[in-house]
Amino acid sequence: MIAVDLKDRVKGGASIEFLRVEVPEGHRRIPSALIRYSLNGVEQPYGLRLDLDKQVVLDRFEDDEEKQEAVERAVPEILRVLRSNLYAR
Amino acid sequence: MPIFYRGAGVGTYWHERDARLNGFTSKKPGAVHSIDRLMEHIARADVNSPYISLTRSYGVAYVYAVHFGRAQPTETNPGYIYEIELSGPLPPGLHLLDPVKEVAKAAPEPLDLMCYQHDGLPDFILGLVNPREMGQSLKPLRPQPPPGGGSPIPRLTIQLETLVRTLRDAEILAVGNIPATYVRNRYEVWRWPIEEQEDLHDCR
Repeated sequence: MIAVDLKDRVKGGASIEFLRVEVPEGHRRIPSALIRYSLNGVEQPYGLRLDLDKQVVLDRFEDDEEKQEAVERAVPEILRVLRSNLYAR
Repeated sequence: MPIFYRGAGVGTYWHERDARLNGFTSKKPGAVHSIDRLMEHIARADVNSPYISLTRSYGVAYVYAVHFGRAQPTETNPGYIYEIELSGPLPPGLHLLDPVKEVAKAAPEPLDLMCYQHDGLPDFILGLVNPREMGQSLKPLRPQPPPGGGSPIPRLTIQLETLVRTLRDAEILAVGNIPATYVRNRYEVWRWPIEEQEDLHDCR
């Protein structure tokens, strides 16, 4: 697994801080990534799944619109960080 | 009998509930099927829908079970691949949809002003298939019809996205409940079988 740091590179919000994004070792064939984040400073055991082809997060904060918006706002930036770290090589 | 699969990564809905006991249901079983809902489900991953995603490919299910979890799978907390055996006649209230056929049925006629086709370069489709590495192919720079009457950005329709994503995942949608009796197995997986990867052969 390859981890790319997101701290101070992707803006969070609504108590969410984006920590890092993890992609599988064979990432060129696998269109998935896992966004690791903290809530109120505590890293969550379960990350947010990102489909890199559809460019959407598969997990939703169903009952918290503010958090959901913070995640959706961050997706293009997370994709940009990933592209510049992994796929541009 | 046709076999379908469903991958469930660690921490996902069907990982925390055993479909062998109660079968599969969609997130919104009361919602009515429509082509727009179907396309949102597949192209935008909006699972607030009446559909249950299945795949005809064990390999696709494997990727979902191992790499589309909310945490890394381990030997003690593996991902799951459900094996579902369905044949006609299906139980009342359950039917299967091939999204490619559904999109094709609803596609505009060639003389309609609206169309699902792109107006980019021939490698546009590669950018859609693999935006991670071929995203440049989706960019606006391309020849325009004189005297500059083309669209400023290439046309990417949800129909085309749905077709490509359906084919990626060898996807079939179930509408209705899949009773537990049709769920034949649940396999545990936690690592990518690298040795198999090295031994891949071109299937053509």
